Amino acid sequence: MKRFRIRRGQRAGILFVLPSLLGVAWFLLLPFLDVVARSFLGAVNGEWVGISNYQTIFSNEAFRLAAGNTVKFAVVCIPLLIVISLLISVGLTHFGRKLGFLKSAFLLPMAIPVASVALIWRLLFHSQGIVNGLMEQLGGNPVDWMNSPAAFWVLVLTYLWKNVGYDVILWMAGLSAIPYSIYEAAEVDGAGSWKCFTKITLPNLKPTLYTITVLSFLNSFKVFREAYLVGGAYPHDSMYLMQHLFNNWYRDLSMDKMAAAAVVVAVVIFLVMLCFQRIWARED
Amino acid sequence: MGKKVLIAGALTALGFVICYPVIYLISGSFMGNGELGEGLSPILKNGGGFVAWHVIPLFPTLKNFVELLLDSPEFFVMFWNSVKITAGVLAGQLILGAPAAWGFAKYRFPGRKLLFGLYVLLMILPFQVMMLSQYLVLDELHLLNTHLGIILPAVFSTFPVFIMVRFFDGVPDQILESAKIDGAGAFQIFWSIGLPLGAGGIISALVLSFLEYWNLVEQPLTFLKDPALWPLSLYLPNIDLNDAGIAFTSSVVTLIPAVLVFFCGQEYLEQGIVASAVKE
Amino acid sequence: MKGFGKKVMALFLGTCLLFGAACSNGEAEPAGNGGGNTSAAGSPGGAGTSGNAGTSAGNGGGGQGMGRFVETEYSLPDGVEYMMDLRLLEDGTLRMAAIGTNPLMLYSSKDEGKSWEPVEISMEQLGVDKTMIQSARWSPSGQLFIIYMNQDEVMAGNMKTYCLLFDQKGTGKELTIDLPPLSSGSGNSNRISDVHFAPDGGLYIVDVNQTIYQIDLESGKILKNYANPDTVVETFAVIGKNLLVKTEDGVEFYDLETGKSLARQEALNEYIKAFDSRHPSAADVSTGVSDYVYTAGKDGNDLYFCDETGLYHYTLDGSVVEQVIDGGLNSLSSTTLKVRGLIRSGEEGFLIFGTENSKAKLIAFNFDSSVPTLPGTELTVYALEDNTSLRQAIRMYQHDNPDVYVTLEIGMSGDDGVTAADAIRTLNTNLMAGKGPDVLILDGMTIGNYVEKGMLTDLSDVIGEVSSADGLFENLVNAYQSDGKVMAVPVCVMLPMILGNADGLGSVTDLKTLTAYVESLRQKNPDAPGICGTETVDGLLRWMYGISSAAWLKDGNILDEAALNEFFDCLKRISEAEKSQIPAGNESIITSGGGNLYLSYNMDLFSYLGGDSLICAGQMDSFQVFAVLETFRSQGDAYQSLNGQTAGVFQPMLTVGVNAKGDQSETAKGFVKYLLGKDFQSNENLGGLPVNRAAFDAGKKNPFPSDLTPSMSSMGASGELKDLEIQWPSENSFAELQKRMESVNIPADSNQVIREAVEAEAKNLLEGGSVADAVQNVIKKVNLYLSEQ
Repeated sequence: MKRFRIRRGQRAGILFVLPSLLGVAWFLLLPFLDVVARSFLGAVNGEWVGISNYQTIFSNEAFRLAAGNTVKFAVVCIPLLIVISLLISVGLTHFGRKLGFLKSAFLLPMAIPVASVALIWRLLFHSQGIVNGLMEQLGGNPVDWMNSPAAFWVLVLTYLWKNVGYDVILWMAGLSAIPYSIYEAAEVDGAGSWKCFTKITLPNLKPTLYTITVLSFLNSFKVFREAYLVGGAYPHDSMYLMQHLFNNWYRDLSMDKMAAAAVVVAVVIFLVMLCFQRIWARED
Repeated sequence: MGKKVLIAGALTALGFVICYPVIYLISGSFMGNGELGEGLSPILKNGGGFVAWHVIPLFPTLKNFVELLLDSPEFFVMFWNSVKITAGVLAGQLILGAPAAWGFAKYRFPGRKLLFGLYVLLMILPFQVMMLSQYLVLDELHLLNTHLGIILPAVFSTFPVFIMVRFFDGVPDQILESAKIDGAGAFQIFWSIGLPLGAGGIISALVLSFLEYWNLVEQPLTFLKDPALWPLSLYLPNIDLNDAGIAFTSSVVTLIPAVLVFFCGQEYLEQGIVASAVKE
Repeated sequence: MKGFGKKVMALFLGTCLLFGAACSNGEAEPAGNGGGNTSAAGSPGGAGTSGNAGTSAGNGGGGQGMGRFVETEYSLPDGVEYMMDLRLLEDGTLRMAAIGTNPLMLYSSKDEGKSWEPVEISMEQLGVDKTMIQSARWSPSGQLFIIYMNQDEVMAGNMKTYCLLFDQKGTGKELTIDLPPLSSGSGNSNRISDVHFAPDGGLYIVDVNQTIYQIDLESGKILKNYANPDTVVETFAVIGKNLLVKTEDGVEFYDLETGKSLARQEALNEYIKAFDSRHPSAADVSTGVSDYVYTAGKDGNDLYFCDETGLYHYTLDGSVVEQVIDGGLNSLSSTTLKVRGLIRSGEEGFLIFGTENSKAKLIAFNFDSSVPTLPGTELTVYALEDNTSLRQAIRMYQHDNPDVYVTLEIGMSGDDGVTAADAIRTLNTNLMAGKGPDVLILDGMTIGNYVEKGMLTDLSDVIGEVSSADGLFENLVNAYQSDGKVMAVPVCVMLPMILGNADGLGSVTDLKTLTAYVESLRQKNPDAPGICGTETVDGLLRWMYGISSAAWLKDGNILDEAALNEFFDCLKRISEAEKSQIPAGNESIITSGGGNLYLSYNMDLFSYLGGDSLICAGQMDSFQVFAVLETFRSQGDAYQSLNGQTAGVFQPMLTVGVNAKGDQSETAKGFVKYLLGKDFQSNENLGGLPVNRAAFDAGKKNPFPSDLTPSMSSMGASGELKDLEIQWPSENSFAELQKRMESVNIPADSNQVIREAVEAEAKNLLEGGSVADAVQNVIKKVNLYLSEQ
């Protein structure tokens, strides 16, 4: 029978974590539990309604649209971002310090305040904006960016633009952790650059990949802010995300539906994170 | 050799394209209202044609900056509010989050995986969902309409902990073992070994946090009733192209501190990264 | 090294910012704050709360502290219409100088203003025409100083002033004061603009050169002068041994002996600056006080002044401006009282005189330690936008209910970038958390949300009470009835009307026919400056939206595409017939999230009269407008209900609801009852037609005195001045109006999502878009919204 005893080492760990835990419990966990509770209650009167809220949202068209879009967005963006930033970081690492300034360039979009991004985007993607102007000059046809399915791609572009910088840095951090000696040894063995890449670089980047995937997933939710400022509460259907829905339900005092949807989102995220953990079993 | 140049060229071009929108902001902030009106007329007034943006303003003017920086006292109140809030959050995240990250990374205690998973989950939930519930909690603590009411929940954001954990993971265990053998206490190990070696991660987390909280919009809007307490990010939450001059200018001014932090932070970031790499 | 260069740049920029910040930190008080040191409340335009900590009368909050200045109105002698001066004499009696049925009326009071006896002076032998008296001032010892002009000279353009001095027995003599000539060098004579007596009896005047003089009472000679050539004296007073001079730069004090100015009084000036920023124009008529009136305090170096937020005390070289009387609890906050003067009376009391609705008023404030400092009950009222009618209601209600303290909260004050969406989000959060306001004015909100989600209390009992007492138009007050409960009630309404040529209007029955008529008018009158008198998207939507929106939702959940199509089509055609273009720089209408609640569109009768428009479409909001319509009809025009895509629509205004989660629901209901009651509903600035039948009947009475025929005149683009003498409508006409009021039963739709979508598309449409696009975009947006429900 295993005796449950907290070893000294463990105690120190608990102490380190405790202050943070308390705060998180109070300011984050508690509200979340309140949300869970609300998902089983009526919006205003607080009466128990069981799972009827859940039933309502699954048959709600707006919910289905938003959920679909959000999933589509994550599935499209995250791999795109990962691959693009990886390629860029590999390229940059090759050049060492010479192209170091480019890192700053890639990072810059992250520093721009959301409202400014919205401003720029309006300039660029208005049906008479700069992008369409360019397209016409190059002989193409102007696209109604914000009012057609192209809106989705504008959103994707926003996401990529903002986040590529940080992912590049993280990749480079991971890349630089791989000791050069391994590459030297491989070269001596006659391995070509592609083989080096697939057999040495990629496997060693697994932990970094985990971090980046989680972060990218997280940031995919943040794109709502720009979307809202540019497209308003009711943008084109292709841009309509879960958070638009939450926002609107809040305004209409539909707390019950909002809470139920939130719990669903949380459960889905939880499952996804579980998957991630499985795939990248962390060394313990 | 040719391939290398091609790649270098492609990368540089990409970097340039990515920075281009910022150039719009900057150039716009130096434009007078007349030029702005002209440039934006296709959008504002359906004036036909497309927006033609002169990257270098034809008639550069500092009028917008003057108006913003010298004539709008509320701008500076908000500026300092932003500074106060962001500084408070970063300090708190450092003091409370770094040890927590260390604990998660280097110690095995019961429930660790579960708790960490919880952290990750809480990290991702959008604010809208928690808005009302957090409001109620803050109300209980009488923290509504105070800066602390924004700072405290932010301090306990689990996101920086997550990033720091990843970096602390990279600190080799052998060094810790040898330190323990030498008789160092847990906290001492953290202080003299963990912090310096994990500095890259800590700085990364703080830089990201800075960007997040410098541009925070929803929480101040909901929890701060008194406009005197508002941070800079609320100065123009809904930028109307009609006020384009001020919009561009305040964007640029809000942007500057973030960029500064970047530039300063980058040095340490890279040092940290290099340091942790050399450890092998 | 690159890194180094970056660091230097960073440091440099950082220092610049810090420097800039430090520089303007001295000014760094955000708008709406009364200044760092004051204990005064915020501006009424902003948070709207008045009354705050720091009252010297004690502030226990919520009834714990005792003692408050209680207001009493004193009656004035018959015939007094306007008070020129009120003075506390050294012997403790009061003197008043007024104008009214006689050009000069003088009184004295031994009981601190409660009762007055006439004071006689002998003016006949002086041969002065009393009607040319400009001003009269009492000295602390009982002398009377009068300024008058000579009629012939005035007719010739010479505004020279002459002075008389009467002693305590009433004997007067001419006092000649030789003023220096005008510094502007023009041929006109200098004259006295204002006069004040010092507590020690000294006489001070200010002339057109902006110089203040001390005058010897015996001889009329100038003893001293205080001149500051660059400033315009807005007002001045004598405070103890100092002279207070208010200019556009603030308040300065000068020692009367030496003429030197005292150290700048920062605290006082900060407070005054805040006041000035709330009232940028001296003719600001929305509040009672156009400028401060000052009076000396007891100690000789302190002063009192008052504004719409209260009465304040300040000691020279002090650091605080203290609130002595909270304006929110009495007439000081009235939007119709204009305060002309303030004096101390008795030991601790104050007297304020001024005018309200053209009648002179004398109000006393006396300290009563048996009354709680703050009323025991506090009621919060919330509205998205400021509303003078609402403020008046609050003041009147508080007057009748001194035990309730009402605070008005405004969601969008207009000067801080808060949008309607943000304000509503904050409101909802507060409501759900149980901290919301007690009474909600729902104008500008989607009323359906609050009703359906159970956020509001049933008001049927209140309605029943008022109905049995005064009678209500049931069709109007029950407009938002659902499940037998009424949770939102319009306090007043506007009726959509159209006025125009009798023959033409006959063909107009709905929006389509109206559009056809407008087009035909334009065809027949290609050069007319306007057809309906509005050019902007905003204007057109204001009267077209409300009468059409009810037709768009079928079964409450599906958009009728054909109806929408018709709406946008008509909108476009009318605007084209109007030669509507969005004037340059006039895009304030559409911003994301809105901010302009526009509910109402008052009929632009002046345009119609002046010939600038051939028909007048809009909403009738008062009996005066009704009278004008009737007058036009009697001259051959016609007016009728403006039917859009639906008939029988009315515009509810000041729709009120009571927070179901609030803890003051009895008091809140009491307030609602007051809003629906005859007293408030009879007031002439209601903002709409009353729903209270007794008030409606009272409104039938002609408010204009029998010897006065109201008229209006308007000069249109043609340059011709057109007049209209307004006849008050007959009993029959009122009976018709009553029938109209009883026949409308559809409240204009309040759904903000639909409204914002239509607003945005209307703008695009009128800027050159297509009707089909507009319709499709609206449908997409609204369908998305509907699918969320």
